[in-house]
Amino acid sequence: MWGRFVTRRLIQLIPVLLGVSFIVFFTMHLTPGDPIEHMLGQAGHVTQEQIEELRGHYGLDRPLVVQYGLFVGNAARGDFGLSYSHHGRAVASVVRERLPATLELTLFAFVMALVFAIPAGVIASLRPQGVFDRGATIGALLGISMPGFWLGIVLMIVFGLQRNWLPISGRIDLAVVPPARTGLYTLDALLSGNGAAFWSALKHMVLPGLAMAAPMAAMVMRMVRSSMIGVLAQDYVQFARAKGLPERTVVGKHALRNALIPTVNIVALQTGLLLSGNMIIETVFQYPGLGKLAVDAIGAADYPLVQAVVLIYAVSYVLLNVGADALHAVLDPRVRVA
Amino acid sequence: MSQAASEEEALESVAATTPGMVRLLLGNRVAVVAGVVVLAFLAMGLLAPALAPYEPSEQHAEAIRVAPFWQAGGGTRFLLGTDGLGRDLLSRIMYGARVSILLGVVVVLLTLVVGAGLGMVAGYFGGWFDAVMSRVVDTLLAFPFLIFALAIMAATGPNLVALVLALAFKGWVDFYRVARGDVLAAREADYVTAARGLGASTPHILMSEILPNILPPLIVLATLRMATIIIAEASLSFLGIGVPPRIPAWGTMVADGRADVASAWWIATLPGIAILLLVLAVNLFGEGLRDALDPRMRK
Amino acid sequence: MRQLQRTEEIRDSMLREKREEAAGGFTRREFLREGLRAAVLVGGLPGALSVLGAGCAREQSGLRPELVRGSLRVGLDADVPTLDPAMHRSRTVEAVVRNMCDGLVARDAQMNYVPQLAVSWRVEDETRWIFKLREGVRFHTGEPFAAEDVKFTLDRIIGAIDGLEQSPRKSLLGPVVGTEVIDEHTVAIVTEGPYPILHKKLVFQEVCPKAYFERVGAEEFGRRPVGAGPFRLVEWRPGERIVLERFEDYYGGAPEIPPAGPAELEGVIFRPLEEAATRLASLEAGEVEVAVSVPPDQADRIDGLPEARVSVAQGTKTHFVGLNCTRKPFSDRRVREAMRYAVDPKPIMEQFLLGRARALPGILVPMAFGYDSSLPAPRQDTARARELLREAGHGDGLSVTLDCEAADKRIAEAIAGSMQAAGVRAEVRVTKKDNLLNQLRRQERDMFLTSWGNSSLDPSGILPVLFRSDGYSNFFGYRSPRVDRLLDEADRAMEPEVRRQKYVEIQRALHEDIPTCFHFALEELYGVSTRVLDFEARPDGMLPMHDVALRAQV
Repeated sequence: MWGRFVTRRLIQLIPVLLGVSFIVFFTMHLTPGDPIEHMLGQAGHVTQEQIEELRGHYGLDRPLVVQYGLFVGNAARGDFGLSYSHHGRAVASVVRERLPATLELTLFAFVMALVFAIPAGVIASLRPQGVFDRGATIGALLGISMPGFWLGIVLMIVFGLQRNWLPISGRIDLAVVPPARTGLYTLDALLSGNGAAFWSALKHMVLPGLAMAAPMAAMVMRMVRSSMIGVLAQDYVQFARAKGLPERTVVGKHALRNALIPTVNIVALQTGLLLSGNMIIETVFQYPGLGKLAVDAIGAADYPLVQAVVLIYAVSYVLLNVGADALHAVLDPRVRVA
Repeated sequence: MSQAASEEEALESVAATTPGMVRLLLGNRVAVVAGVVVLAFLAMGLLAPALAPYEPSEQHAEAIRVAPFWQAGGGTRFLLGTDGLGRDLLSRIMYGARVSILLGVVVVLLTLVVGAGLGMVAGYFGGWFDAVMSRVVDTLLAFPFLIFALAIMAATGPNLVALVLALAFKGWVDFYRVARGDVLAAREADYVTAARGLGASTPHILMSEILPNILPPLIVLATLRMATIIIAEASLSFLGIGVPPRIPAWGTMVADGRADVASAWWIATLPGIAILLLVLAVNLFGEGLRDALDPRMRK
Repeated sequence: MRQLQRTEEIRDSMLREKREEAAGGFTRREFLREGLRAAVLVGGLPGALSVLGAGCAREQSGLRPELVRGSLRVGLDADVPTLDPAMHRSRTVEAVVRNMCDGLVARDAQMNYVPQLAVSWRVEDETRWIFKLREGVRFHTGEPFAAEDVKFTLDRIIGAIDGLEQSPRKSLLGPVVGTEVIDEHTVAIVTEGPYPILHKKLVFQEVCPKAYFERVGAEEFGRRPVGAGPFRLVEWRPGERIVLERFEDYYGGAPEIPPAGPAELEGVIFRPLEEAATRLASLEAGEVEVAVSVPPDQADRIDGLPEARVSVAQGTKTHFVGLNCTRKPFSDRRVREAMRYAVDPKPIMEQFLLGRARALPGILVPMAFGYDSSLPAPRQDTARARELLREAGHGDGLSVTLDCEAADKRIAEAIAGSMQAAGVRAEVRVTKKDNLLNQLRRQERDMFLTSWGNSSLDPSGILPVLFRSDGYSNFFGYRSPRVDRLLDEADRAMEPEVRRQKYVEIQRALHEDIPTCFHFALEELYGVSTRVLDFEARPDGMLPMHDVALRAQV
């Protein structure tokens, strides 16, 4: 039943990805700006012949529809063509280099958001309109209303420049030897027992991670809070209390589990937004991940690279939602029936 | 439990009348303050030519990176200080309100009309149109908005028309979903069946019977979407591909100040506070509006 | 094609090795798990970490901790798309690559030309130069440097080798048509027509080892280049860092640039930090020791820090306002002349750029060969500008767009602000750099702030490309048969004094015709930690690290 549920959702993914690839392909190719001209840039004298040769090399001389067909066919096999702005290297390999950085930062921001949001939401729900609740609500509102790039810059000024507490750019201190295995520096450092590298990589993620996590933490906190308030008013919780179970058990065991069910989907949604926020934050902090790569690729009219990155974002968004629905189904059997 | 339900019912009956809604909204002190702040920003933008002490692009070569008045080196000549070209930050922030609010309103109206229109048609008629639209919506939901907006803006260069389209590209989907869902529910409601029985035409039913009933949640959504749009516009301007540089915009101003963060923190920070205040006020007002217009949506 | 196959074979075998290593690691992991549990029980977390460390020591990357500690770290202002010396037109790439790959000719800090991998050269006849090569030089692979490598390097750039992508550096070699190997340590370079500055142009080409290139193929070479320079590549993580280590068998470099011998530093780490604010913050935080291109308004602050100073060199790049002579309003010479008098250079140089730039009468910087010092210094004269505009029929002022790229936005806005006094309403429009260049080449823009680098400091590196009627970057639609003829004559004049005279005449013609106005050159500013010894900024923007040393961290 479960397998079928997931399979069905995964099959639904196909038209979505086709649609995404269609939009991105045609907007990139129909907007003005010739990638070959970008490539040549300041290259000095170039003959028309050489331009045509390059066009042929990158397959840009074929009809657009054929190009699209080739693109989809190749992309399905994980081949995204050659990157214009990376000296004709394969897009897949360029992306692979940057993916771990983004993955690590996103995971870090994700964990940070949940670590703040869930306890804050629970505590706030215990005493609605209490001091903590009001404080947390105001904090959450600020979190949603702050533009990420600005929060990033303010964090940079306060913690990086005025007090030299935290690094404001890059992934790891250059003086630390980074172990190379998965590409996730904190994990690599742990695997190789390099405490200094772990600490350095972690420190580098704090400021960009905070700036990324703020809106997600705010949304999740509000969701947890309101859903906890709802659950705590339910009969079975009152009953558990009446039985004389300690408040800890009541809140932690009975209420929280149920309150988290509706939170799962909002977490998935917010994680999707987290991904789209990383472009701005990575640009602000010069973090060498996928987001910064995308911004640079767009500036260089590097179609194949942009297409690949857009598809990666779209796939991860869809997978997140499938995952959330599956998790939802695990936690709440009613969903499966419906 | 039963108490809560009755309270909700009471709210609903009060809110059913327009004066009741206004009363409810006015009773919410936070929402009132937020509304006043939004109006203040609006007035600031509209009256900027009269209020601003300087022209926003006027450069003072002798007064570059002057600190705001409360800082050492600051003074009353430039209350909020100046930027790297000696331009008055207060005047620029005032003018910046114009483009933020204007774009917010235009984009929200556009997406509201398009989204709600399509949503009503899809919800009322269903069929192939609904099926196609739901595929389109699924696709757009999975589409990373910012990259798309970036790609369009990078190709066309900073200009307002492209910016509106880029911001509206995905924004209508939310309105579509709300409108479609509500129409789907309303289609079988008594008042619609009755109107149909009386021989009302389909356009009449949609516009005169259903629309007024589904409007409140759409208005609430529109307000909250406006906050998102303001932030999105500022983000694009921050990356240098939103509002053209000749128009003072808050996102551009933050970007201009980035090079100076170490020596003149205020240039990047103050315009961001303006964004924060406006967006916060819009959000609070939207939530107040939701409580007043649509008690069912209260969490 | 065969070459490609060979590359893939090598890659496959490397992959196989990696896989085998991973398979061998399985049992080790099990051992580790047990060890870890024991260690946690006995020694707590630090103990566990050290066990992990011991287990994985063999798998660490090739970076030695001493190397990283003893390295000089440089914050670059641009990312590096390739490390292939022949496949870029980027000063940043050149500055990095120059530390790995030496060339036939180099320049010292005073921009004098000295032999590097060449020992000497002579002009055999007007179209044939003979270069004697240094003996006993080895590439990082251990293979000896010889005449074949020089031939391969130059042939690749001029496009004389089939099956390789066209090098964007071809135009830097002008009329070079071929190279002949005379013996193992002698080559002849043949040009089409006289080319008096060949030796100066060779500074921009680094020698690549033919054998290694053919072994690994073009793509791999761009990622892991090998040269005969003082440092060799250890690791390149794109967007993050380029790690070089001292090449112990270095021949010592140009004897004219002492000291000789291997480099002082253990290594050099380059890190792209495109945002000036982050770059400077990293310098202040001690995360890099050298920060390239300090913004003028930050220079005094950085210089005032206890842990850093600013190193200054005169720049070789000229910024200028270009005017499109082919269409209204600037097809009218009077309007162009009005622009010359519209801008006040003083506040822009002194207030906006804080004295870190100097206004110039023309496109050449004073250091350049043939610079004409007799041209009048630029100044503002709003009355004259208004009068000229009135004569040209713009009595009620002129509205124009001033195009620029993002990096120049602030200066463009300052220029536009200054022009207001002369009745010129200029609106600044920012376009992506590459797009702007293409628009300019198609002569689609009326007035624009842009810049052109000329680190050769020879007028032939800037005047023909911008001002010849068929110049590739003639943004102005400037056509002057006289200037074309003078440029050709200068190109062929082997006698320096004759060349100088031709270039002076050209500068005067350009001053008369005004395709460009408001020229200025920014200083090259580098933020340098006080731990760094013997690093000085250079006009050409190169970062030779061979002679630099680093004081130990306190």
